[in-house]
Amino acid sequence: MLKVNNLSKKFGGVRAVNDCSFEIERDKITALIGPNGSGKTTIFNLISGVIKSDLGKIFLDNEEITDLSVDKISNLGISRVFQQERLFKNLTVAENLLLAIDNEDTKLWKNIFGLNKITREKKGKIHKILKEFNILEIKNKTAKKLSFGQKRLVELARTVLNPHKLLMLDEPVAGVNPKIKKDIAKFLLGLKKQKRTILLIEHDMLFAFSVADVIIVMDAGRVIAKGSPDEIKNNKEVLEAYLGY
Amino acid sequence: MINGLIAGAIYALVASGFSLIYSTNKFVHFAHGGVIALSAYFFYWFFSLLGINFYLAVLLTILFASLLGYLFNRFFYKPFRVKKASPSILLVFSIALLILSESVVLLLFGADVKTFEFIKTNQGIEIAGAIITHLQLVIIIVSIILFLGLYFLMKKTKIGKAMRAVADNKDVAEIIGISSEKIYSWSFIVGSAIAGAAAILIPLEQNLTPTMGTNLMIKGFTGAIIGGVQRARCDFRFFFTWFSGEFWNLVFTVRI
Amino acid sequence: MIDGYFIHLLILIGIYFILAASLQLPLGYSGLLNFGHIAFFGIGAYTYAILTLNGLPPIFVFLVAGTIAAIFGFLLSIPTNKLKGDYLALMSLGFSFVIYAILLNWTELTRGPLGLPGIPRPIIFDFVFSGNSSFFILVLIIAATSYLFLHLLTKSPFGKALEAIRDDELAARSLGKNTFRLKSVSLIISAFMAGIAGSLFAAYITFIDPSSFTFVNLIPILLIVIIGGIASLPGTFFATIVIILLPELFRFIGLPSEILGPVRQIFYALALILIIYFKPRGFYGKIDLE
Repeated sequence: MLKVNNLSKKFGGVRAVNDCSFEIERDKITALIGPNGSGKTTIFNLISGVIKSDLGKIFLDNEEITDLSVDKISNLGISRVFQQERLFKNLTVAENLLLAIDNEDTKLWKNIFGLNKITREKKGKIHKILKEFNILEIKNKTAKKLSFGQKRLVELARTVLNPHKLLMLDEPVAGVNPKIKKDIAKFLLGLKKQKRTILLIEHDMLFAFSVADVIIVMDAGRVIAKGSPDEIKNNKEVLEAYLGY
Repeated sequence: MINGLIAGAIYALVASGFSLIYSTNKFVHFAHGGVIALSAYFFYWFFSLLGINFYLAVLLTILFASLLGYLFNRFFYKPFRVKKASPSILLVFSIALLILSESVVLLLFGADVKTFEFIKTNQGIEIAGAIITHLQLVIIIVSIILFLGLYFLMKKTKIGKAMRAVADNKDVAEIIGISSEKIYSWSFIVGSAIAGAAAILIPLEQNLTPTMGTNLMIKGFTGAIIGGVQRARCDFRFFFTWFSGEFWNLVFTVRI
Repeated sequence: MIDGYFIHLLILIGIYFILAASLQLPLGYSGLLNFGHIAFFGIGAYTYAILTLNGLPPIFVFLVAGTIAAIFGFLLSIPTNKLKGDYLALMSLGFSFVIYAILLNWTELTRGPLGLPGIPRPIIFDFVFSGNSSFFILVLIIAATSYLFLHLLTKSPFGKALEAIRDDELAARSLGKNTFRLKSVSLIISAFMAGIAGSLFAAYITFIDPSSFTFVNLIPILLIVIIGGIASLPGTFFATIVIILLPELFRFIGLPSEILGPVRQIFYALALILIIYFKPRGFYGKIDLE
């Protein structure tokens, strides 16, 4: 579903991504792992349009999306969670989520004349996902007042509500407590059952291996291994990359 | 045409002090115009009204200007810098300071235009077919000396290098032991001293109005925009861009 | 006499409210540091003055003035949409300088520092708004309409989308919002309203010159926006009243009229410095300045 061909990106003198190629299959959870500085977040930024590549191409369902803008790529079906917190801190949880559901809110006249109503259906979607994460009680709380774990959950909820074909999660469980980590794992596996495609970056090996169907390992800007969790666990190159030579 | 050159020299003087402060502190210090206005009137007060010796008045004015710049930084900008204010907030501040300065001048000295009558302007010498007065010659020479002095300061002295270091990369400069707060203070002291020099030359060559500071800042800024300044790098490059911007500005809007 | 003075203040409050509230849209709701707002005010004022002095019907000219200001708003948005906050501040400020320079120097059009006197009051169906009381009704209607319009806009999902841009533009884009377009719309609308405020100003004072439209005049507007609170329309309303009325107190404590001007400026400048230092959220706002 997502094809990355020969991507390269340099920052100053550092080659963050170096002739990187891989493919993501539908309806599977793929985890992108690798030591610090291996280029994972850069790849994410390249795919989602946050930065432009020097070389290479990216295809979503055979349609080229290289160098398109962030919003266009989102509207083509890629939904992304960032590593740092990016909630709309002065808006409530409900308002944060509502923004994700569709783009009717960008139509000026429709909104001024009150024609863009917050339908029962939209309210229902928000209610449902908050319930699933057990955070219904914070629905009308301003985002900046949430705890760290709550923020992560809301961000995940927001990204999922954004209509998508591919979900990209950058370290979704970094820094959250074990209970929330379990909830998120359960949630992701539930998503997979619903036929969603997920690509995630994770440092937490246990977490990655427990949810992913496919593991892609990166080091120094390129892919060095790809396979099922079991295959990767026993891969010599991977062990070397992590432990050093 | 000579007049244009003189005005350009003065603007460039103003610009160099300003860009020193801008590139070191990374925000637009509009109150520079306020320092100039207050210093110019200070000079007027001491020299014209109180009759103090010319050279002494010059010295005092320059000291006054440096002190003013230092105080602006210490009591207005620093508390906000400490609070992590963005450059835009500091910009708004500096505009407020500029307005304060000029209102004070207006209240103390009135809105009328003041001139100095002490230097005869009709005696001139001829150079290459244009007539240039002694005063104008002095202005050009003084400007050149100040530019050279600034250049020397920035390139050769320890303080100058430290200022450039902070301008280039504050964090790295701090790591190698440069105290950025001290450098900020110095940049204001030196930049404002140059402003003080301009504040003496302007009324001698032209005149004094309470809004002279605002006018200078507007002209300089517009000139910089027309000259295409987008980011200031090293203060020196910025200075040259600004100067060329000033030149264009001069060509365009002599009448402001 | 007191009546006339009172009406005069009310008219100023109305005009400044429109000016400040229109700045809330890009500044308070969209997070755009538009320091060039006063230029739209000036463009509106001069457009109204020039066109009505050339015989065009005033009410029609109001809309033209707003539209031309809006066009400039659009023009400003093009280079600045991709800029980061602080550069936007500088560019928009520079924009206001350039407009000021044009107003001052294009003397064939604007008579430069001499200004444009004798600006006619608006006329609807042969009724001339020459009396200040009737003019106040006009200002009141337009100000109330502006408030209503902004209220509807900002409470709607569109307003939330703008606030999303202010809070985190990248996140808004990654939800599929075309933030460049939204920011442009924000600037265009705010410029239009400022242009209308400018027209009202020109029509009221009946004489304008470039000095009313320098960046110095931005300070009271910014003060209103900050004191009232970022993204708070009711706050803007109350703040406008305070900012216009307070300096008038200086009149009554016996200060000679020549120094009222600079005293007012000092008041604005000091108030701005103090409020940013002590109460950056203003009195009604819930949102911090960056």
